[in-house]
Amino acid sequence: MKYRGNLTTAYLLAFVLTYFAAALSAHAQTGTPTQNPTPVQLAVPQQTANVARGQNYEVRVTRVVGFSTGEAAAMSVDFDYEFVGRETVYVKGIGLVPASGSLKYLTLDGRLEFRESAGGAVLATVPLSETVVLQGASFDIPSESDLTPTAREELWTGRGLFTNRARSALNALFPTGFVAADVNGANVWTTSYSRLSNLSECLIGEVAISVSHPFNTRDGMMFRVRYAAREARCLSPRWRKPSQEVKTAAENFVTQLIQQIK
Amino acid sequence: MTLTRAQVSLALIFVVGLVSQIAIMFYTRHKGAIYPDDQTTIISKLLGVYAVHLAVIIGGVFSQQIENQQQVPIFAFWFALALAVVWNLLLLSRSASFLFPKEGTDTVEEYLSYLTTIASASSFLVAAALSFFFTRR
Repeated sequence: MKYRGNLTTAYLLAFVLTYFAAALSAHAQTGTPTQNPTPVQLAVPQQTANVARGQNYEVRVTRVVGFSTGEAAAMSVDFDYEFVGRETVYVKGIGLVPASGSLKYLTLDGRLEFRESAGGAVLATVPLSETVVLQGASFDIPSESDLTPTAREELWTGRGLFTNRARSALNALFPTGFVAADVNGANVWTTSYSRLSNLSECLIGEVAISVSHPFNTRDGMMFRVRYAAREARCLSPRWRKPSQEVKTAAENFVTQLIQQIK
Repeated sequence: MTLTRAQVSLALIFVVGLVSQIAIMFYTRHKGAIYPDDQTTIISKLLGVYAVHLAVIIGGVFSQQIENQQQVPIFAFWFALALAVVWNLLLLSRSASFLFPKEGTDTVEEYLSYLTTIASASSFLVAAALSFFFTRR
């Protein structure tokens, strides 16, 4: 009798323990509150300033210098990049460039953006942080109203990448570089002013260039060139609107630049 | 030295000083070193600088009915002449730099600033002498 009582107690104990185990197990499975899910951490590449690395790419910004352009703050960026397994990449504001190399220009954006193509997927972005701080540094670029209202439109007939040819032509004539910006999908490069030569004695003329591209047509890729000119006299150094002599010199300058690009 | 001869000598220094500086500005404009509106501004400034002194001189000349044979102290005359030359040279020396225009050497703004400052600061050099010689009866 005593044995049967112990057996009953053991059964009861086993039942209770089984019940609690099942309840605990159910709680463990549904224990994560379904109404307030914990945010899922996706494998987003870490956004470190001035550097971006991935399985098949690396972007390393070596120098970022802050400048004032009069209207906005710009940064002069100097960087090396490499995208393995690609022939070209699209840099926002610059355009299609070789998949590896070095670039140097001024940007109004706070980051670099690399894409597969103009409208393609983003390959990498690099937040920019100044590495060199220059007090009062400014970059004298023309405002939109200073530029000629009409642009000279040219067909790109050269071989290779337009950006390579155009960049080397601009850098040769404008050693201080240019500001690259994405304006409604077009890459617009605006240079600082450069001195015009072959002007009358005591006449000082300067020209700045704005090159925008690409504009795809049935004939091929077009690029547009606008310029801003200004003049001063050797004893009246305040800049003024250009005289006809300076305008003519600036137009000749633009013609030479276009020939170099093409 | 009669008063009239002393007056003519002093008046000539001021007139030559003003005319030569105006001529320099025409030459500088002709060379294309300054803009026409800068030339106008400079000439207006020069006329303003010389206005008081030339007003005393011209007033003195026209207020005399006949040639004044009155003798003037010789030391006072030469001293006044020297001060008039110094005052005009202070302005003329700077204006002469516009004869050789070169980028970065001078500007219209700096020149105007010089005229304003120096002309007013140095006018004491000639004020007393001019009133002495051109208001005598």
